[in-house]
Amino acid sequence: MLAQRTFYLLLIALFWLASFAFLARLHAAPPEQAITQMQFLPSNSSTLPALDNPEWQPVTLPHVWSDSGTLDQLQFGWYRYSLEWPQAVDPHTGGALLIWQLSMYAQLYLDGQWLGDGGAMNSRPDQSGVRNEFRPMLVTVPQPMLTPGRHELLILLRAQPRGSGFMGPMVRGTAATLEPVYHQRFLLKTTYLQLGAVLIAAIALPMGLLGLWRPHDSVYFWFAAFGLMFAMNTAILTVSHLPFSGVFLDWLFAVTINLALVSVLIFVHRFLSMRKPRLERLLLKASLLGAVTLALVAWLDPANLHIWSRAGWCTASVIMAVYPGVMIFRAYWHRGASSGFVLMLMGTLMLLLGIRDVLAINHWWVSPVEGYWTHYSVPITFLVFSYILFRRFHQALQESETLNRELVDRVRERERDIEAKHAQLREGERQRDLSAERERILLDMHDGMGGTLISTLSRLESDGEGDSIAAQSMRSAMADLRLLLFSLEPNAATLRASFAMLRDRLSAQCDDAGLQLHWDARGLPDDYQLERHETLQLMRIVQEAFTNVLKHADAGVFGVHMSVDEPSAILHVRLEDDGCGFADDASAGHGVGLRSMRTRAASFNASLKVNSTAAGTTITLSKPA
Amino acid sequence: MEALVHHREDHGQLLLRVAWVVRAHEHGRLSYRVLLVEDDPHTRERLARSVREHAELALVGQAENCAQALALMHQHHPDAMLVDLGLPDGHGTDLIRAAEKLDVAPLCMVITAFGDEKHVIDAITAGACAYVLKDASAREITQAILDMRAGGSPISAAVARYVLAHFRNGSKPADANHDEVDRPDFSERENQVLQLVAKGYSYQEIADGLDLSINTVREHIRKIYRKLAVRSRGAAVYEAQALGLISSQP
Repeated sequence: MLAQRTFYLLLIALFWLASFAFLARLHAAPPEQAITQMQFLPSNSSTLPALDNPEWQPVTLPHVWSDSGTLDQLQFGWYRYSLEWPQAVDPHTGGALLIWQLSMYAQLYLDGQWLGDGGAMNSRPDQSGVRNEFRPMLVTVPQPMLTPGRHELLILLRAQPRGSGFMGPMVRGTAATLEPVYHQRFLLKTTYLQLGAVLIAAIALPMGLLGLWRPHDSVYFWFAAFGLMFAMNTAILTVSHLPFSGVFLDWLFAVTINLALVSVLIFVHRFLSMRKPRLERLLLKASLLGAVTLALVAWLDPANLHIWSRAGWCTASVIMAVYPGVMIFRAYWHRGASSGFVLMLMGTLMLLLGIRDVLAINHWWVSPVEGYWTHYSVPITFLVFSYILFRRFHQALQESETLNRELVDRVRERERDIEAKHAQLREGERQRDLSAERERILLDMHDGMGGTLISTLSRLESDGEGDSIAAQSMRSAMADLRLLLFSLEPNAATLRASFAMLRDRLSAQCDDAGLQLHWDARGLPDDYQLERHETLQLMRIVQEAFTNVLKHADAGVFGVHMSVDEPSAILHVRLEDDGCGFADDASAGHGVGLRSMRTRAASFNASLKVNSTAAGTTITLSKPA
Repeated sequence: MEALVHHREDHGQLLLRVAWVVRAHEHGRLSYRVLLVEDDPHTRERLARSVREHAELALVGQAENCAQALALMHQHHPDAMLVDLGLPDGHGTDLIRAAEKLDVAPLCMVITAFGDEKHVIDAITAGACAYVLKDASAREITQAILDMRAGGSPISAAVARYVLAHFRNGSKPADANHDEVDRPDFSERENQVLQLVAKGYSYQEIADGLDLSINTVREHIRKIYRKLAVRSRGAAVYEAQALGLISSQP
């Protein structure tokens, strides 16, 4: 594990080295035939100096003002070069001069005549000129000036901020040969950075909106803030015509760098899920304070702004950026996540380049002439991280969608539960009501009709009339009453349980009559249910059949067989006896009994089949599901 | 008071039976002495006739209300009592509780019109150990008394269902919406038997299904009766203590 991390760290270091080497290679040296010796005259005005001024001194290009202790407050400097066009200058291609790099505003004069300020030759010959930070400058000499002989070239350089001027080597040639070189150089020093800034802004703007839309997930917002600040900073660096004063641009340069780095720091916090709100608030307040202080300096002492902004504020910001660098390294070292690796790879490279740039602009150790390197790594880093963030966002969306779906499912489930519980409660209430009502009826019956029936029956029996029609009617009334009460029993849910009471009664009566009862409910599932009224009718049919057998059949066995067919779920109840049987309409008693059984069966959609022979009677009831 | 607190256990049952046999020998008769309590004269006469006509049973008295019944009970010390629940001057369950307090308590059987679970449970928790339907035949009535003497107790599916539904299982937390009381500590077997009875199986089918003898099933049911009665006695003692009617110190 450790070895693996070390190995990757080694890879990262190699990547850093390769990046530095690549950037150094990009900023290649000028062609060998470049002019590297000129005369230099420090000045405090932009008026053309006399050629015989004794202060002209030879310098070697690139000439960096801050190399010399005496030039660090200089605003204007003149360069002079004596050149001779060859006898045969091609009138079509013309003569051209390519300054490899310079800073900041330049005006070119040939024999006292204004030649241009780089790039666009039709600019007005005023003091502002074109901002050239680290960029090359190509000047084409117009045809009338290309006279053979000796010419004096004068270049005015104005530094912004003071003392930061420098002049690179110059190449002399024809426009045809120098233009491709110039464009290549311009692409590297300007166009690439500008395209990068446009790309960053194009990604950062919608991402910032996304961040505003998801305020709880502020990683997007801070990443976008970084991108926008950096894009603005790059614009200040690379756009040559900006409608602002140089002082304001200097101020903005330092402020955007600082805000970009604070944004990076907060982004790293968010990205690594670290919560340090106090530190973040402190840094944001410090940024605001720094911006205000720099503004005051720009207003009160613009000449010294660069000391505060570039040497002070930019440097402090880059030093602060060491902190997220350490965070990234720790996260990578402890977590080793793939995104941690990328963060380490790209993020710390940016930090190293930033440190290099701080050293360069302050001219502490590295020469400033090659400009900022950080800006080359940022577009790529930004792209990579945009992709990582996009994937993260996509994942978050998917997760939230999944969570939403789960939530919806759970809510539905809960609704169903509640619905079921409600139904259960309602059913429970209904059962309780039913139970209370039944209890009331039972008590009434006990003390009222039931008692009277039993008392009268007892009296008839005492009077020796126990077998009379009246006594029999009373017994059947009593039996029916009992069936009715039991069919209302609140807990008698299944057919088997409902029939248990009937079975007890029939069993006792069979014992009294010396009749064998065959009760077979093996084919009846324990949980088979019928509606209450269906159960009651079914019990009445069995009771009726049993009474008939007792009265008329002279049988030895009474069988009750109950079963439910699979899979048709048809309930079959077979009632059989081995009595003497009857013709369907033989006796009045049978006729009435069968008719009432048929009516009862029909009332709950059951069919009744009767098969009676001299060897016994079978009554089959079928009830479809 | 101690008799009230006294919990009659199975070995107590055995002692009772031995006591009855010894006493029967002392009195030089082996018939089982029954006291009948029923307010309706025709029904009472019918039941009395059934008891009288059986060789092993002797009717020692008939009462039509609680007062008479108490007097006869203390006078004759019957072996068994047939008690109607709705009496003109009180409830049959009070009579059963009073009988329980006797030194040698008679076995009590409730006479009920329908055998409905509410009446039967009331009687069981008061201490009754059997019930019989008022319109049962003479054979049924005498058989029920003899079964009771032999240690059997009838139980219907409805009664079993009532016990399962209304007596809360000990492990279940109290539910404020239900007027359940704690179910006695039934053994696993007793619970099984109760469940099967509730489903509508006969004793024989239960015995076959659980691989027991039918007598064992009967014993289980008698134990269920006893536990229900003990539970209610326990609750009564607790309530009496709570009301300060009896001391909690023995």
